[in-house]
Amino acid sequence: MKSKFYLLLILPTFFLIFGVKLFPISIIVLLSFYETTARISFDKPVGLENFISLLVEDRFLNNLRVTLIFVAETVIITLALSVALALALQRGGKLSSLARTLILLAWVIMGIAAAMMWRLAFDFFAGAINGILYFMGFPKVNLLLSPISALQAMIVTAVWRYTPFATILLWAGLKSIEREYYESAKVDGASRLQQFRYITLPLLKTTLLTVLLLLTIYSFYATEIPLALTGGGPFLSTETLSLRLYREAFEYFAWGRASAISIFLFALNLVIGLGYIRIYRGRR
Amino acid sequence: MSEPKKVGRRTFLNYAIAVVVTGVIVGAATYFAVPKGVTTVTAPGTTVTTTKTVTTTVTGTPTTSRTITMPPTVKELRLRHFYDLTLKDNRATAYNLVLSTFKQKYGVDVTVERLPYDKLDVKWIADFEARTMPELSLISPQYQPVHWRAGSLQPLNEYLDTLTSKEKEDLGLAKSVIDGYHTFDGKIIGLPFEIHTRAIFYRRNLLEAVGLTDLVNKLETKGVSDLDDLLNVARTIKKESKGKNPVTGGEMFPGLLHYYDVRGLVELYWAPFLWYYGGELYESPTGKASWHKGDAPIKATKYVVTWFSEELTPMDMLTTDAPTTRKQLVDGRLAMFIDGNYALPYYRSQGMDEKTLGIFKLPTKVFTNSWSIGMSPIIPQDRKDASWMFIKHWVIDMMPDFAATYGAAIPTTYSALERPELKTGTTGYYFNILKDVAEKNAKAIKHEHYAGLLDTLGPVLQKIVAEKITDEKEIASRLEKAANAFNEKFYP
Repeated sequence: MKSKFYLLLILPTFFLIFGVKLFPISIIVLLSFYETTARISFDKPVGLENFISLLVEDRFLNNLRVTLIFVAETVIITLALSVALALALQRGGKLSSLARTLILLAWVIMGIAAAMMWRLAFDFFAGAINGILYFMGFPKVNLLLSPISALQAMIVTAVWRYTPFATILLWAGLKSIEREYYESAKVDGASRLQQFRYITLPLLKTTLLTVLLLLTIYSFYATEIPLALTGGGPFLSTETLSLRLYREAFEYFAWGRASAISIFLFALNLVIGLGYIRIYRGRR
Repeated sequence: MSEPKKVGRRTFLNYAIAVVVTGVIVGAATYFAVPKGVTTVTAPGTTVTTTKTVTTTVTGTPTTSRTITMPPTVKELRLRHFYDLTLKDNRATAYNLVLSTFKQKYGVDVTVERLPYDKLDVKWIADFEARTMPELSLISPQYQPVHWRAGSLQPLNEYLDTLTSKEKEDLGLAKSVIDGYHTFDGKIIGLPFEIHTRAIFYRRNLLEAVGLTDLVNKLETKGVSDLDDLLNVARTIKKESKGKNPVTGGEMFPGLLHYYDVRGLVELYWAPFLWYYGGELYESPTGKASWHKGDAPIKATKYVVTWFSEELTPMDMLTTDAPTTRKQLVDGRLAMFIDGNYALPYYRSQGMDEKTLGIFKLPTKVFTNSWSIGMSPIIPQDRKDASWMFIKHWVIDMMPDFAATYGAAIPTTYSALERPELKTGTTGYYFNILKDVAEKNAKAIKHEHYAGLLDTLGPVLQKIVAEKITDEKEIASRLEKAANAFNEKFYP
């Protein structure tokens, strides 16, 4: 009796979470098998056509390629930078609390505002970056003109945006590691690198996995950065899957195709996430 | 106290599944139980495959004309808009004049909600789906077919029937754009409040300062005769201004166009040249892509590439947007820019007038469109009547004052054209050219898959320009590939 009452108490929460979340997901899965041209409707079933037509489309394959490069580079660079920053914050000092506040500012700014800010910074005519180059006597560069540099500009923006969040999480993880381990290691003559490798990294593994997962998900779903920074250009060379999804849904009103893309994204995230967990469990 | 019994995994799963199934059933029942109207109708470029009856979302529509008056129950209307009405320019003054006179006349406040111009239509349809929308919105001409398919705009025929014959005649100036953009199966789903067209704005005083007075006289009296003449004008400007630009000290780039916005580049900076050489973007009435057919697209593309390969337009314009390009023109780095009448308030606010910023026509057909005011179909009847009163107030009653104050709008009524402010002075100088373009050189792009068409073609053109490709076979091949991709996607 007591256990059933306990369940009854948490039932409303389950209802809210699963009912409210699962229903939109069900609609999206259903919609992916239909063709729509303006409003969401279930008039024209097309089976797997939405999925197949995407897989054979050059533009979609390019979206996939760009997304994977964007995610991989963003995650790797952000992780490396956040670990370094977290270690620096961990050392403490007079300015560490000020540094933590300043670092968080980038996270507090809305994603779209951050992307627009960087767009201005990269602007060839009036941007801060070219202003600095010009002041230093270097020629101006148009980073948004070539597909390669435009993609790197997107990655710089994403790293700037996500590093604070990852740093704070990692710093919290570092705080939870007991000082005695480091003191014992010091007594035993371990160098800083050895302490990092044999104490910090193993004990930080759970936090690292969490940060890795979150960064991957955020990067996959980062629509505001390509939208505001490059618009997917030049010539769609920086259009990610999330931006493509946005366009299919909200500009072309092709809800069926947009749903199919969202399922692709979900599947990609799921595979990568499960991969992370498998690697993590394998090394325990 | 004894500890609570541990919950078995099976029990937990049973309860969780029960919750999930309940949630899905309730949610699905809620969604499918609400009646929705679905139509598939003919829009230019559409082949009708099925047609369904519109279920009732439009209520209380009388079958005979009735007298429309301001309902006493309505005290406020909401209007979605994309102009910044807080700016101190003629456009904001003109728009605020419309809003304030409406309030004075009818005692009804019109609250304006501002959204980016490329988000208005999307938000309107999304809000229509959610059954929560304001009464009025500015509607993009290119998305009219989508609104028609979605049923998200109230047809205005019933209200137009209540106009007097004099009012109908006055509105006749806008007939071509109403027929061309806002009418589907005889139903008019929006009324235009201004017509947008384009011409070439150029830095008149700076060209005179570098000694190109004769060129300025030619542009002011005769304009350019054809595209080659335009190219030669650009070459002359670049050559003669080198080292003499009174603003930058360097050369003056003729500029002409930017390529950041893929849709703008097709509409404004490639389609006119395609049309000049006898090509068309799409077939009518099927809507299938035809931009790759014949030699017109090759000539048009090579023409645009020439502007970049000769550095008449700097390559950086590939990543520059319209506001930045306008600033470049104002700052004197650029000599010319194809721009619309809607940009005049900005130029005027930067101190430009007929002596500093000249204007002449493109020697081609020019993309001309008209944004309209649309009404929600799901609001109560009294709010529909009140919304119509506002539309009529703006588009007909206030149009002369609106156009005279704005000084850049090409109005929608003949009576507005008679205003002396539009015929003389700085306003008259620009207005006469733009009106001439709208009357004689206008061409519309109206396609049911407008966004998809431009997003398919635009990036291909951008890449050709960025790589400065002039090989005709290569150009033809890329354009054909884009056309096939578009036709396969939208017309399988």
